[in-house]
Amino acid sequence: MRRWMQALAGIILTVLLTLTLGCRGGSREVVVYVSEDQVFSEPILKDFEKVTGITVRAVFDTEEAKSTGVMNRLLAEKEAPQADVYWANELVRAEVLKQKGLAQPYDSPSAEGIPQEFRDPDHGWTGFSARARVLIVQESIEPHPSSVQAYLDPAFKGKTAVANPLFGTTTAYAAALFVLWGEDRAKALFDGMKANGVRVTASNGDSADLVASGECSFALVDSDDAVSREKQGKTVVMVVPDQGEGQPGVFLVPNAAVLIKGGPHAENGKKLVDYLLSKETERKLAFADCAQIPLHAGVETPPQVPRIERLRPMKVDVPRVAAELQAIQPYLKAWAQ
Amino acid sequence: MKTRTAIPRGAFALWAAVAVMPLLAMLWKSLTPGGKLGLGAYSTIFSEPRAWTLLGGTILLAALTALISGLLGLPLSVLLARTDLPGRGILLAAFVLPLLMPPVILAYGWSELVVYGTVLGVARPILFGPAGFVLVMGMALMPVVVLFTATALSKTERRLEEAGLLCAGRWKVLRGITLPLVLRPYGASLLLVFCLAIGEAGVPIFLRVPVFSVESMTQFAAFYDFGAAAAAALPLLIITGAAFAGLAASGIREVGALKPASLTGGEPLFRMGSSRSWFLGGLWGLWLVTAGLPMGALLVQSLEPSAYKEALALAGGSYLRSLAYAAMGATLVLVLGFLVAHGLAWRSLPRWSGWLPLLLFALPGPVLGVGLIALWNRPSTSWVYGTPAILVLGLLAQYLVLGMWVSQASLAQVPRSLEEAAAVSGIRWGVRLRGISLPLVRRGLLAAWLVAFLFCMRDTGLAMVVYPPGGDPLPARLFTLMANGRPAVISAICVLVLALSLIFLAALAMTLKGRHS
Repeated sequence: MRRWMQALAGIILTVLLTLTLGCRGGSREVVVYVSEDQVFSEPILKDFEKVTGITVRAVFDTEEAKSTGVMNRLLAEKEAPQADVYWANELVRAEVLKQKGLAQPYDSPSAEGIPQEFRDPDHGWTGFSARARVLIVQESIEPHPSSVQAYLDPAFKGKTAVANPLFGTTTAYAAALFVLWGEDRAKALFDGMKANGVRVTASNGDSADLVASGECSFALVDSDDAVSREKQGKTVVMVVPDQGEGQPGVFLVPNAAVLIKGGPHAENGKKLVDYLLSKETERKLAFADCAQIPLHAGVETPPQVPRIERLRPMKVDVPRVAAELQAIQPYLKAWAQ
Repeated sequence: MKTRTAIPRGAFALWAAVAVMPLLAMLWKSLTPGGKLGLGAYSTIFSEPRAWTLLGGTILLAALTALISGLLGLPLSVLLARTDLPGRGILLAAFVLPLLMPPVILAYGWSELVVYGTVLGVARPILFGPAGFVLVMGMALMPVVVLFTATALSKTERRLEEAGLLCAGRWKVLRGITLPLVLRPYGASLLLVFCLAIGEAGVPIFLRVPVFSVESMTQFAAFYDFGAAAAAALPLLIITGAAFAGLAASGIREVGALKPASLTGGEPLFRMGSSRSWFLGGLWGLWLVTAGLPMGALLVQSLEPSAYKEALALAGGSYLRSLAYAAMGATLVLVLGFLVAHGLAWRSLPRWSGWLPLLLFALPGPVLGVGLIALWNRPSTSWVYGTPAILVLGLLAQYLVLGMWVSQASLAQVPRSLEEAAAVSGIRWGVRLRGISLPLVRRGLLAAWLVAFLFCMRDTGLAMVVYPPGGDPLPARLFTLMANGRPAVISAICVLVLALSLIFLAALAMTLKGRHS
């Protein structure tokens, strides 16, 4: 028994040492905190390892946990940063980090060609590969709704869905509308949606499933949710909304790369930022299941992913949206109840 | 100071340093917002009416969870502990199984059952809401009630029941004698369920139910203020503390009163006769509804070609890391837990030192995680913070009580006179421990290690907050993959977790069986 216990203790100590040493810092590594879904971001990081020989140590977040996950952790570690790079899945998060003094300005050469509205003028963050807020519509609905105003159409009463605006991209979309339109007009849309019987779901995926199953006529979702249902062979189509004159344009949700101030591997961090912002990464993310829209013009995309040069994006003032995001929380909470 | 006193006290002090210092660090940060002493962080939180509403809602959800667990757990405990139903051991294991895996797996299983476009799709909005939280957590934590109550039922004084049976029927004896005897452990289990439900992070995040532990951090993420985040965690600490103060006041004087024993042996109070098959069918039906359906859904969904291969490719590393972290955590829990238990048994430690680990056990994992960050995230201690050591320390802080309880139960079976006789003969404490106590309780210690291992494996709340970069354990990876991961692959990972829990549960059952025999 004693020998057995000693052997067990020996094994555990060995494993502990191996793990500890295995996770310790080295000059050929970079630490990245990631809010983009792991299934999409991890392959990119592995490719970076192959290309550069730099080991990537990542902490991943989830769509569900992002409000309590790596963002909090980055902020908690402000005094002694552990991360070199933050891969945000929304510009607003990157902007918050910048405002809190965590971002190290870095003007990456790979950022050239990315439209200015997706780049922080102070180089605190740079956007790349975007999701779009699109309408997923049942194929049989004619004509296809082409604007979020269709939520107010009595013909669709009780037959539309939207993800709970307290979470994720729906929150950012709401904040952007509040900034663009002002409080009264934005509230009129949301109140009208509620009066017209919109179904509030747990996630964009759920909204897309409601349309795919025929229970709802259309829903506002992220482009990856719409593309995935199309790929699954569901009888749905993706409509890029509000592209006409006088309409707000499509709300794009780019990823963002942030170099963390005081990160332990700053040079490797820059290399990773360069890699994330590259056209090649954007191409990969366009062909992946997340079907993200490259922000560099001219990057090859699959047929179902619209090109940036053919879209009319919504004008978004990121710092104001970041502030609005908090200001509208009480309204959204009351709305969602 | 004698070695017999010094070593258990040293072990307890070491654990307390690991467990309590993070909480003190968190408290200090909350009291020094912006580097100056003040209560600003608290006034920020508590001046907002919504914080109170949310706190009230969270307490209500946890109370309802305890109610559901209690309502189902009590009759189940009676059936498992005081009847002659066949196969009670297997039934007990089946009902305990959900406790051994992250509750978010059950939630995920349910979400895969109630899919839009199917008959059960109408229940999806219910699942992704407060009712879903109560149901999932109620089912996941019901085993706590069963384990506590069935243990107590199996140890009730039979002579009292026999005397009662002379002048009253079995139902009356159950109501008038048996159940009152187990009221305190039953109440204790409900309190524990309440605290565990309040501290759960994975399920409310997955089901998108606003609860205080998650929402408070959400609220402050954008306006980052660590002091405020720490202050937001304090109400949970106070509620947990108050719950355990209530537990202590309820009259359970020894944690050892909750110790596990043979649950399914002993003289039955009820002989089921011809109703056996009905009750058995009912029990298995209950298991099916509470745990079998979601687990079955995961199993069915995972039966897709290449799902397991892909699961291992995506999560194989995390699986191994989890095994390693859990093994290390369990070993530390066992060593320190045994020493503390020994100290309590020989009264070299005060009684309250048995309660403190229980309080930490019930503390929300993310709260402890925030404390660990506050304490260890410094350049001088990055050798802890940036490595798996931070997670292992957290596991030790949270789960010491498990090693302590099972060790206490084992030590209680060793006649104290053996060690006393050796002491009189001048044999040193260490030699007595190695030569007498340890050999006699080795099976119990193995059981303690297995129990601690299972809980370290299933930990999600702590792991999500403090796992080292590039070192995610399985529950954290599972959670991150749930966002847009292929359902068949996620289900396969869940099934792998389930399989591991089953293997260790079988090992635990064999160990306990050997111990009782």
